[in-house]
Amino acid sequence: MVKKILSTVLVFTLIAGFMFFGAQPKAVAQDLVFATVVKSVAFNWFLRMEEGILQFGEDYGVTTFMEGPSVADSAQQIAVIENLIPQGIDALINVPHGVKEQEPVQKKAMDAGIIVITHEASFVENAHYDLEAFDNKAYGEEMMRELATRMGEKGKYVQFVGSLTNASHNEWMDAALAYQQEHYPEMESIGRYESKDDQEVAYNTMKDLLKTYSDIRGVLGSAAGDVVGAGRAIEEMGLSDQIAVVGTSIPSYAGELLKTGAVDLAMTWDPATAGYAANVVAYKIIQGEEITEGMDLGVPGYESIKIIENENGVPVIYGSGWAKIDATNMDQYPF
Amino acid sequence: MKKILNSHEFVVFLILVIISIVIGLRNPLFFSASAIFDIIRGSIVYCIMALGVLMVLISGNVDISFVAIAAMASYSTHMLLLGLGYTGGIGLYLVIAIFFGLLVGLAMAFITTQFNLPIFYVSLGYQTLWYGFNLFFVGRAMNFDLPEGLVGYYSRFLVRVKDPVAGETGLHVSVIYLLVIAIFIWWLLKYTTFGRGLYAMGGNREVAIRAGFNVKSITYLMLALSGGLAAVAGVIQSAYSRFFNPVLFMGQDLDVIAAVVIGGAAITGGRGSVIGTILGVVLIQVLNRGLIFMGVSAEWQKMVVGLVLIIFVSIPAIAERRQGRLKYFPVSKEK
Repeated sequence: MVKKILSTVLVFTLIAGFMFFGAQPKAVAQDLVFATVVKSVAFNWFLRMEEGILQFGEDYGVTTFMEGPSVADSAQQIAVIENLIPQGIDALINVPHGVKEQEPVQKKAMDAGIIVITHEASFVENAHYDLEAFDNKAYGEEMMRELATRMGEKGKYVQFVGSLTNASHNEWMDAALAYQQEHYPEMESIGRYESKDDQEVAYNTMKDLLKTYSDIRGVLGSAAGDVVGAGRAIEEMGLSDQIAVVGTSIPSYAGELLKTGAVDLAMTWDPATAGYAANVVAYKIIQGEEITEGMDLGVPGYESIKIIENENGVPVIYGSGWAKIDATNMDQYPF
Repeated sequence: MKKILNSHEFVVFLILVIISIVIGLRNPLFFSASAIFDIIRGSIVYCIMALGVLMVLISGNVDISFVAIAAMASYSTHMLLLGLGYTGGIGLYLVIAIFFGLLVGLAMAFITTQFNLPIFYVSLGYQTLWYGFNLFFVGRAMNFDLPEGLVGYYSRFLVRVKDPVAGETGLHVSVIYLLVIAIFIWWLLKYTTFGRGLYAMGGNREVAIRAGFNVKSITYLMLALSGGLAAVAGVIQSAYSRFFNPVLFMGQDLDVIAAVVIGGAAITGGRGSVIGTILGVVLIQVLNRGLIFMGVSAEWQKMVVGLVLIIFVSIPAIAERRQGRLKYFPVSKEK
């Protein structure tokens, strides 16, 4: 009996100990708490975003933190937000894996009086503001121009998106496709494939696509790992010189392949400044400031914002400009 | 001969052949050496994990923590060696990772045997525990820094072939690991007391104990081996994809178990074979990838895999009913 009690006490002490050990030292006596929820905390992309979020917290004296599931999954992301709502956060910045699935929980947060800002979700319905690094249509068109130049403006190409319900990815690809159909009649899309935000899926899909469509000459990637997976497949098959690979990515993902030329061009925006800017928007709203056209959010790329209302009446804030990264300038982008 | 023709493994093999022919009719390139090598490459890692799962299933248990053990062992090994400035090849990676895998497997065996808990219950927590361990203690970011010796491992081939379409591919060297492991497990299952003990445990645990099998030590060895195999799979997969991932294989546990079940292992224990397991993994791989060769959508492919699974779990039950021996209800038969 004593042994039983003793072991029970031991187990509880252990659990309590672990909980204390794991508890992050949260700043006290600060008024505002902003949570940023991302697709997955295990993506380097969002670890870079976290830097911006924490920097904002320091600059503005707000308690900020980033949370999210360990794999990109809408159901898990919704659960994370559900748990945050009753914890009394003042603002929620959400980067949804799938936009449609997460509308209800964003509405729930708004109903609870939380300021909701989304990112990479320009056709969102339930949010106070959405913030995009740039105009998605222009970005998709630019991607297509870069690809077309490298393909000699002819031949077949394939499009990758992280998920078929990801708003930004599909907007870029829609714009790229429309632009191609209008300007490059000799090019042809063979379709849009889902990488499930998983490089291994992109790799296998690319290998199999090359066997089915022997004359692929170009690849457009949306998720940061798309061009990496596809680029690996292309490199291992010795086709780096024959296939142009252009898409969203960052040097820590695509660096090696940019050097070898398997990935020709990575286009991106800095997730840190995007995270910072989104938090600034939430802060200004809470302070009662109005968000206006041409406003300076205080980080590079967002010095003069554009605001356009989307079809659901949610104002979308656009920053300006994107970065184009290839082997020559990748050292300037340390993320 | 008749015994072979009636075996579950032969049925799986037959279906594999039929499906391959159907795919091959639509796209003859499916039968090219390069396509076959790609499918083998895609199967190796899952075969290695599945052979660990096979032992656990034969013993009448279900374990879902092996994916997390694979992630923990490979990621921790990588971060450790990276910190030490290691520049060598995959050898030391495997040794250290296997050590981690064995250790964690033994710890799990300790918990299950000490408190007499079903492995499944323990593995529920165990999976979360080791993913959490990675994210909290080791690191959250995917790591792309490969030691010199590991660069190029992803395209080290035994045989190189020209791809019929473009470029080249080959039979990856890691197929040797799989062969060695498969023969070892086959020998264990067929010729050792440990192997016979596994089948006996799965058939009827009480009877196995009374027949003099040391169920406890069998459990220790089984889980240690399963942990070690998962570790090998984790390292090879990471070397393939050129980065180490703290949440490697997350969400793929049931896919692997499904492959083993398709290969003829009974989820209730007492039945299963090495050949069947390998065929099961290859069959899922062919189903998944063949549909790209045929140009059908990802959603349809998921449904097909589900249907195949249902058919395969019903086959042994139907066969047994026909032979008039209802294995799981021996009492009703005696009346």
